[in-house]
Amino acid sequence: MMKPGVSSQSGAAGDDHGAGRRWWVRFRIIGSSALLLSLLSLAGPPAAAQEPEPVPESAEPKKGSTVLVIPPANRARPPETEMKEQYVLRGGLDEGRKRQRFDQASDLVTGYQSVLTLLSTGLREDAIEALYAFETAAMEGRQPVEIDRLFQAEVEVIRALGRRDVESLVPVLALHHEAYPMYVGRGRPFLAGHASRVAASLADLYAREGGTEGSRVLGARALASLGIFAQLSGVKLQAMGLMLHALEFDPDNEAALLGIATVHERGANYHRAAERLLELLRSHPQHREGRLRMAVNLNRLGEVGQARGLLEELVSEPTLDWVGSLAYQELGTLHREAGNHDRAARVLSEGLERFPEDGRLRTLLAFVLDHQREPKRSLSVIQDLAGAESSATEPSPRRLYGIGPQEAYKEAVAGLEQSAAARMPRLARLVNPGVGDRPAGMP
Amino acid sequence: MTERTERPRRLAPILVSLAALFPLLAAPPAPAQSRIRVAILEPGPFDAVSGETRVVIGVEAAEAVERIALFVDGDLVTELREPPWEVTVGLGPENREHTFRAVAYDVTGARGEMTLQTPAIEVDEVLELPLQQLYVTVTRSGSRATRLGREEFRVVDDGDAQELVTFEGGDAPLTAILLVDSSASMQGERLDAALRGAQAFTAGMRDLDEAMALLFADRLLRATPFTDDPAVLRASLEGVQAGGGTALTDHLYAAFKILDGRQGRKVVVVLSDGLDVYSALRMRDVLWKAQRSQAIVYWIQLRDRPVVGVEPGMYHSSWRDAEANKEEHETLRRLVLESGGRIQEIERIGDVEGAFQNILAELRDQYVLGYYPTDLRHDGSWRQVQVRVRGLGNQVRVREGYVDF
Repeated sequence: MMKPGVSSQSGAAGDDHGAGRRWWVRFRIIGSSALLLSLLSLAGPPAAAQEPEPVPESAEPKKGSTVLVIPPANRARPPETEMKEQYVLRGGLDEGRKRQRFDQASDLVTGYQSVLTLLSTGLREDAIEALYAFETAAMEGRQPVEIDRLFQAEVEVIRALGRRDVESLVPVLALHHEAYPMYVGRGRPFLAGHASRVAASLADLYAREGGTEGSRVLGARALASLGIFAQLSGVKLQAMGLMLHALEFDPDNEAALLGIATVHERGANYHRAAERLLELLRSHPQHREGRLRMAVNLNRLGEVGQARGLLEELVSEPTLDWVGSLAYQELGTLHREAGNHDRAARVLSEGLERFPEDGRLRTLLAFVLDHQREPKRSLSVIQDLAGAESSATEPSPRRLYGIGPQEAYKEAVAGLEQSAAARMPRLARLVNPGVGDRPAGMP
Repeated sequence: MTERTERPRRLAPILVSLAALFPLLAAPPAPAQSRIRVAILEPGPFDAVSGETRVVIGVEAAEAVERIALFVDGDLVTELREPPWEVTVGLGPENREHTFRAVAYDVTGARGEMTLQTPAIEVDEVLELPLQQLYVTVTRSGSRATRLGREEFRVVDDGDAQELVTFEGGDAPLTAILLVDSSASMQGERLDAALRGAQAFTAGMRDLDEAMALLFADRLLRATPFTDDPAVLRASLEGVQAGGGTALTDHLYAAFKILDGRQGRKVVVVLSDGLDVYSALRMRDVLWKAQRSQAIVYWIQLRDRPVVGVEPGMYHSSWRDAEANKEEHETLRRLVLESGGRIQEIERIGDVEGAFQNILAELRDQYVLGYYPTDLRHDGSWRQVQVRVRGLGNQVRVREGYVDF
């Protein structure tokens, strides 16, 4: 829990998931069951569960030569379980069959089905806009707490689809997954939360009901990327809940482990961060960002030697990326703080040769040279600062580190989109009867 | 005695003489060294030389000179192959003796040489005379006191009264860096107001004053040239967009560093809320630099968007926890006050322009006092400075001290 008076320096604060959250779900019978039954009968017999395309198995991870040890915590650490959110729909496809008459929900079901029909034609951007139009209209003039009725209507359609063909849920998952950042970008926090909730529910359903290792990994990937986006948006509690949820299905999910470590780090829980990073490096020992964050956190915990070892590894590698640039900065700082100004100057000079556009490296080197009573060299290093940085368009390495694991997020999203595209015909067969395997609008 | 025995006796001395001459007659011819005469014309034998030094060699030779090798302090520094026989050599800054040796060779292989030794400068006593300059603001009853004379000031350095050697009013030229936070929180009207403030500062400058604007986020976004022309400043800032995070500490250090290479009364004006997230240096590092600089720092602290319930500086970030961030904030405040500057809190962004003008006006009303501190120890210790002004009710603001290094 955050101490009173302390805030997190992050993006827009989540403000729509306060006391109104529910910890369990009540199921209501959809009034238009006849419509639903007719839809299902036209869809035909349930398709056999198809093995999703294999998740590429990485080669047996190469074991690193360094054995990392985290020192014991010297103060109480906040338990992660308390930060886990339970708002996500749990339970299998067969739940919700008990029906309750609720006339208004039929419009919601119909409207939502129209969105999915449009989605199944492959017109993804149109489907996103249709979802936006549908959901905003559904909440027009309603109290925020009534969003649960929208959720239930969509869940019923989702469950019905899933009972026919669980693989058809993947494109729907991708739709709501994309809707989450869309709503955040349009300044609609309640609907953003709803999109995240539906996407997480879909991911959970698919992971459980898919019945394969691949479905669990895909579900975990979706949950982890939702969590990372929540963390990027500053909604830390939700982020943590989603990423912990991902680990239930895939304990080695690198996006979730990295994301959880980042949340801990931003909350100054460095020991917890190091623990999760250790898990990440056990299954992904060459993960560059993981090793960098581990070095930074080990240093904070007083394990300077281990931190230095990791940083020296990173700077010795040929990859030219923000991780390498930061590794030079941190290694130079370690040497400087230990009083080894000569070594600091050598490391920073080498870093500046490889990353000449990095203004922080330049500033650190200038400072070290100042300390070494080389004011002229120090001045010449700083005078190139404007020229070096003015053409940069990307965020600085220190800012990329602070923002969070964006690369893991992008990879997860790309993977989900690919999986969704592969399964679109299966959704089309359910929601677009008569079109066959090639729904209208699909290439 | 017969005639035959007398002939051998008369030849003996002649034969002995010839025998004595034989080694000389059989000896090889003497070398032709005497055919080349070499002289080092510059430097002279009494010239104490260092740094870049011109060496001029004179040579007289019966045959054509093929080359002249010049040795300095035992090392071959150059071979000259045609006249003029002169070269400039770098001897380094050290005050010491030097040995010059010039060896000339002609086309027959004959050589001539000369060696010259130059002396070091004889130093009787080393005196280091660093002039300390203090920029003093005096107020009385809330208004700046502007008509004070030299005799009304007393300077105490490390407990000892000091003699003033220079005294100037606010016309002393100033060199200013306007450090403007241009992170994402400054987007739109906030950045516009900040840039208007910077231009207002420049517009109020006088001849020999100069200012540079550094617009920073988590990296440097724009650096203008030093100028006293608001139009130049405006043109240099055209099109700049606020965005990104904040690395105030690093850019404040850069400002001090840039001022190291400038003359004049050095001023840094910082416009920021003071919340640093992405710097690599700590503010205590910049304080170290500030204590070795003579720059005054003013901080226009933006408080128009306070975070409710959060004390300034009390926040976690990926790079520092709340305690560390609070320390950064407090160290910045200390740095500003120690430098002799002040913090002006702004609660409406529209007040920024006035704040810049206010600072410039204060600089115009400052007194610049110069003295040579007595009893410097060069031990890296902190020397406290106090300035007293005769008369009751005078409030004095000046840098609190400096590092004796």
